[in-house]
Amino acid sequence: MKDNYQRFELYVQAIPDIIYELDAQGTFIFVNDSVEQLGYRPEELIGQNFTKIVHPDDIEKVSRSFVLPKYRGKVTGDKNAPKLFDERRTSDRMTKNLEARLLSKSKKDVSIGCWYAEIHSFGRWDKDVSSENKALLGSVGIIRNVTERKLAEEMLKKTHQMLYDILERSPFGIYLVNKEGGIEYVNPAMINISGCNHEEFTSQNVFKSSGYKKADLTDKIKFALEGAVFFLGPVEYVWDGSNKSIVGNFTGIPLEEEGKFKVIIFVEDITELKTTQMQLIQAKKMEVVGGLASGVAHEVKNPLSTILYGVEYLRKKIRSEDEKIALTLKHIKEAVRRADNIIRELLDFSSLPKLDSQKEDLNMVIDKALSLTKHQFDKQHIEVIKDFEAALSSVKIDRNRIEQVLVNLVLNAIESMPKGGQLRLRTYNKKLTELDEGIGFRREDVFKLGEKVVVAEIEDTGPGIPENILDKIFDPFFTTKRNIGGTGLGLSIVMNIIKLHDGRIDIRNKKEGGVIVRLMFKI
Amino acid sequence: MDKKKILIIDDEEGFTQVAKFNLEETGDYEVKIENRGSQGLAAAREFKPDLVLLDIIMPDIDGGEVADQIKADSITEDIPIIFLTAAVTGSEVSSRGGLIGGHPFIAKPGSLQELIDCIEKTIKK
Repeated sequence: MKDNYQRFELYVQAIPDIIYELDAQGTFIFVNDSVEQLGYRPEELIGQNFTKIVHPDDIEKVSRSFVLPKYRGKVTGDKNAPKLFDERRTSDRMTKNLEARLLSKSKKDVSIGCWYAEIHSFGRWDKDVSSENKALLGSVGIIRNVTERKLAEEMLKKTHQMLYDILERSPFGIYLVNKEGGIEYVNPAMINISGCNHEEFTSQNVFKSSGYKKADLTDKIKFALEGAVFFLGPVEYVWDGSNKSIVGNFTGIPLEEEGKFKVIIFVEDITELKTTQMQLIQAKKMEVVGGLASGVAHEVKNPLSTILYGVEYLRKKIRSEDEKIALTLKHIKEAVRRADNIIRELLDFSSLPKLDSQKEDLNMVIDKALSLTKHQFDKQHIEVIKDFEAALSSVKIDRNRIEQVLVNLVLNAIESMPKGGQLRLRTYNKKLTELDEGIGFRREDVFKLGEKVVVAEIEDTGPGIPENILDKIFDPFFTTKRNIGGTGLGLSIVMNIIKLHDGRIDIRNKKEGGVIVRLMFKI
Repeated sequence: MDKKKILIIDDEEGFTQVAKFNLEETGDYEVKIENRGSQGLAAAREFKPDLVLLDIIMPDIDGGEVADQIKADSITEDIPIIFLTAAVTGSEVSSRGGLIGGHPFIAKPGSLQELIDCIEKTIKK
């Protein structure tokens, strides 16, 4: 018997976990040497209450005097059963896996000096626990140090949260494709880039989607599911169900999970970059055209003037009954005029002027443009209605250039009304209160919300501009009048001049028919 | 009424010829042409024109220089000059107030009537 007891004591001391016994008041009556992990000798704790080694913040969570009153009258099933270090229950109902932080002796700084413990404890009674008149002797328990596991768990949780934040806040589109081609995760940036909503995006199967197949992405993703990294781009892409076309770079990286691959796909939306590049290339082209045009212009204008004077001479000298001769000469003359017109516009287009800006009354500039075009609208029986704000703020503009813009716009309006109509010109002061293209808070917005501007509107009652060409009308060399000598440079020059003024022009069809051109200048 | 004497100095030979034909056809003008700036200067002194039509961009002496020399010479200083040039566009004419270096000018190509109107207006002055 004594041998058995000694052997048992040896076992208890050899166990790395802390083994303890408390009396009915929760005072240590035994603790093994493993308690030295907390910096105590066992004899130091004998006679001390268990709470001495519990982190102050955790005592309330695990002590019966705090926990049990909260459970009075409540159902305490397996899940909800209170977990107590001073447990009175035994057998299956004893405390298992109670998690609490313990406090070491030396470190009073609780944030560092504590470790995480898992406690198993049960009560000891003088009689069987089910019998009446039993008396509690105390409780017995084992404490296991789970600090490392706990810290690893916390670290994992933090890492997980960090990764999640990175994914959710990334400006790159990111999504995860599984072996079956289904989409398991998609971040907000990707939803934004795709133009789909979350459901539309995740319901697509990359093996079945026509968009993926067309862009050659399906095969790339299949390779990546075998473990190969892929890069594709820049490609133009439209997701199924979206009406937004993007130019993007796609990178696919295989992720291995228990021997199976998933693919994480990164999408960089470079649509804007591409557009800017295209604009730069276009501008460069225009520069070349411009340089060429001004070089050629002089050489072409001289022979044109020779032809023109030659025709005038022949027209007077050839007194023939043959009408065809007169007609031929007339055609030659018109052709020269057209050629000259084209060269002149090319020159205007290519030689972006330095502005000679001064404070001007826009109403007066419009009046001048109207007087220069009067002959045209009189000829076509066009009624001109002026609605000018008398107290119009003056604007800093190059008078000649804005006159050129207005003449161009008025002539366009006149041309759209060959059978007559109304030309309405309106000016007014305005404070900008609504967001629009080029109006806002961004650095690239020429006009800022709240800014005061002067607006000039030119409205006609013509047939309007076909919607399919509306976004092309400012493009250089785009014209619907090629057959009558249009160069497609008129509105392009207009736009350039307005941009030089830091102004804004927009041309829209009116609901009731006809076109409205709106010019906006800074005050 | 005496015919007015016009001197055309322009390196574009074809142009000078048809301009001469046209102006003479009106019956109002006697026209002499020169295709070199330097010869034009000599002609201005000998021919004593009522007006010079002067191209600007020419291979030997450019029109600006020719104009300066005509104005610097006591024999020719009173002869009015009209520049004829392909180097400017119509829209520039109005922005320059119709003058280059104080002389009126006509952008090529222009109509014959425009030329005659300008000649008459300038000689009257």
